Amino acid sequence: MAKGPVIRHPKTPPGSYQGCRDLKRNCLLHSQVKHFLEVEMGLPEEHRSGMRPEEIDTEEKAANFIRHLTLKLHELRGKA
Amino acid sequence: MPAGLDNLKHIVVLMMENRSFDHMLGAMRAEDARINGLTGTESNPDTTNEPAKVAPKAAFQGQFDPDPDHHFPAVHKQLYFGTPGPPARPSMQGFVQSYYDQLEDVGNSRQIMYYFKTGTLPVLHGLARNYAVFNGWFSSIPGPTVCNRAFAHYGTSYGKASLDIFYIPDEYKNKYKSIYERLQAAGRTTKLYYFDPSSSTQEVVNLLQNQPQIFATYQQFLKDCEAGVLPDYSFVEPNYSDHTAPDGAGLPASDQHPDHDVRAGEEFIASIYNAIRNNDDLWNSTALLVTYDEHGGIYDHVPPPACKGADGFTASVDDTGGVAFNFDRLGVRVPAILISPWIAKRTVVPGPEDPVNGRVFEHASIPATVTQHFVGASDERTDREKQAETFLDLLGDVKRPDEDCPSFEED
Repeated sequence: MAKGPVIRHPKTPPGSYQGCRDLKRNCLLHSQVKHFLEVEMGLPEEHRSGMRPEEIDTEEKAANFIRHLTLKLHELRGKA
Repeated sequence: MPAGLDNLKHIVVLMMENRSFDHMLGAMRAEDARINGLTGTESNPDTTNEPAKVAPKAAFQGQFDPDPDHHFPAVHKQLYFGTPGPPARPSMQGFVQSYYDQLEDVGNSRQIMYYFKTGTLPVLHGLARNYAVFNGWFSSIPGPTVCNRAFAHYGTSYGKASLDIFYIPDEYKNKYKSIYERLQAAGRTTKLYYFDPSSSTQEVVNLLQNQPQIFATYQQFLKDCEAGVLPDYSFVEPNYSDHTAPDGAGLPASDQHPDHDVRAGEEFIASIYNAIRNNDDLWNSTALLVTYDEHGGIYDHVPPPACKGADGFTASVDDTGGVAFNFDRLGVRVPAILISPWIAKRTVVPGPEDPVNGRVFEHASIPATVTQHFVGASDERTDREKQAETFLDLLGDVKRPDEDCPSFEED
């Protein structure tokens, strides 16, 4: 239940979602993928994602790759 | 000690992405002249030498494509166009010229001057109206995300001024500790909350790789707020990508990085605020800072000042495009709002526009403040961080009543 005076804000419209957005359009996400690729190179082969860097070309694919590596780091080096 | 500070048990920092002060908060000058926003007359020359004036035409999405360049060389042009460069005072006249370099489209380049009009950002503007807005909070480096966020974690970027991977050099591992290491060594609790594993963190190769146990998710943050078990210090990262949730739902990025929808960021900021606001004990004992890592190439009118303290590093010319840079001046101004029921409504913290009372904050102010409150004296940090302004003096003796502190609800 809201407390104090209520300030209303708009909901994000579903159309704003673009999982297929080209990764090159976001330099930050592109760089984050590069950082995770470096981390992946330090992992034993059996723990790698199996994704080739050139395949990671959309935000959705970047997120899948980052998810794999993040969960792997937690699994191998400590739980969240 | 003021009662607000005496009661302070938790500090939460939410760092968003890539929007300048004037772009997000500049319109607020019209309702409160103390806020150092826009008069409406500010301009930059376009490449035809016509003035491109600021205009309240910022859109939630679809306006900044391509992503405006905010690497060091581009920001250098944004700051120093028409001047001989440092040590001259930044002209703030090169934003349109810099954006033109990307598409070579004059009309497109002029959009870098657009700002959000009053009424379009009810969450950020609502927080600014109700708590403390900083007129002088600057990004730490005139450059991109990774090096700027490093200042929030370490009080330095160890000489980096780019998005590239950096490892903490061995000779500094024991000399300068992250704020998380300092807190843990002092017996304090801390967490970095990323949105989810698919969004993860921008602190990949140093913190996540070596200390994954200090990370948790946004959902955990909400649960920790509800249960009243937030750590002493929390750093929250937004969702950096449009991606599908495990249940198949499309999750729009909430970081506000162009070209992600700004409304999703508003929702995210509101949810972090509400999570704290809805637990009475937590609300009474928490200070929430909402800020942005850097300006994202978008116009701001205030020339960034010099740093108070140096961190002793020199940037590689590979990062700076050949410009000499000793981490002795700040990056472009960003929005920053400090939230607590112990802060007087409509507080405006003066910045460089006030030569007598003005204060200059930057991201090194974050570990400086957290260290001051939870750790005490610490030598395991840079001189720059030691000299950075801290902000908890804004918490006073009077707690505002519940009915004076708003909540947010989605339409």
